[in-house]
Amino acid sequence: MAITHIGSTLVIEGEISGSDAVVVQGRVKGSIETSQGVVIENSAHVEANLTLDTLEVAGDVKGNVTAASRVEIKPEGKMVGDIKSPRILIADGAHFKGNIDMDVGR
Amino acid sequence: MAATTIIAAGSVVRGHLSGQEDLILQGRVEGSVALQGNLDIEPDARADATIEAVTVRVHGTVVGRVVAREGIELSASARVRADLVTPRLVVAEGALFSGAIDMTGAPAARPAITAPTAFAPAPAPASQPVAVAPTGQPSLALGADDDDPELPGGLDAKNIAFKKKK
Repeated sequence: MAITHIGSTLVIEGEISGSDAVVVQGRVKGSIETSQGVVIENSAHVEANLTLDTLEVAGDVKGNVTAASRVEIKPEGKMVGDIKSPRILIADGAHFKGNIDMDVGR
Repeated sequence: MAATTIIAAGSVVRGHLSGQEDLILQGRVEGSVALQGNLDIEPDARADATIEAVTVRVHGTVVGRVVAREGIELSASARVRADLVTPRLVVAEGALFSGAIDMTGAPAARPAITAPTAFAPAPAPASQPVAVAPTGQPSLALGADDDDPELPGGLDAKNIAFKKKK
């Protein structure tokens, strides 16, 4: 399984879509759509709507998330937006503002 | 430092992409790419884009425009329909290319070639009427000689000089 890796100096304005896992260290403005997992690392700023299987947030995310399996907001993660996911983890120290809907995918 | 971005084979990026690092493209990009780093477009990758980078290596497909500050390499598997602007270009045997090439490093050599050729024709027309004149019509040839180089030439030069000052 291949991984699309968006490095720390990279800025994408537009959409990322496909069937690879995505790791973001840089900036993405627009949307990310994948059938695999997405990791938003510490240095990342993401202003996008996310459609994916699993999401790990350790950076900054602004946007709505629709996850098929799971969303995890790590202690250093900041997230503003609505989450639709059957499973959700919010770690101690994490920042979150938005609505959560776990009544999906059942 | 995380100095490389990879867009994997199953991924498509549409839009504007910029950064200070290297980019390896295995999937697809549509839009524009502006890098202060190198771009590698791998064999099954495709870019429909306006690309700006330091060096660009193409093993895959590119449609659009590529501006590379240092160089462009088209390998044997490259399929390119694009305009290329770069001081250094390598095209391997087997590469498919169609488009315009502008090698910005070359102009320095061109004036040196055009300058002597511009000098050479100038004496040639002058010497030909003189050579023709004695055999055919001397009076007309001399008149033509007088008119051509001195009066209109001198007037033109002055007129141009005045126009430029105004």
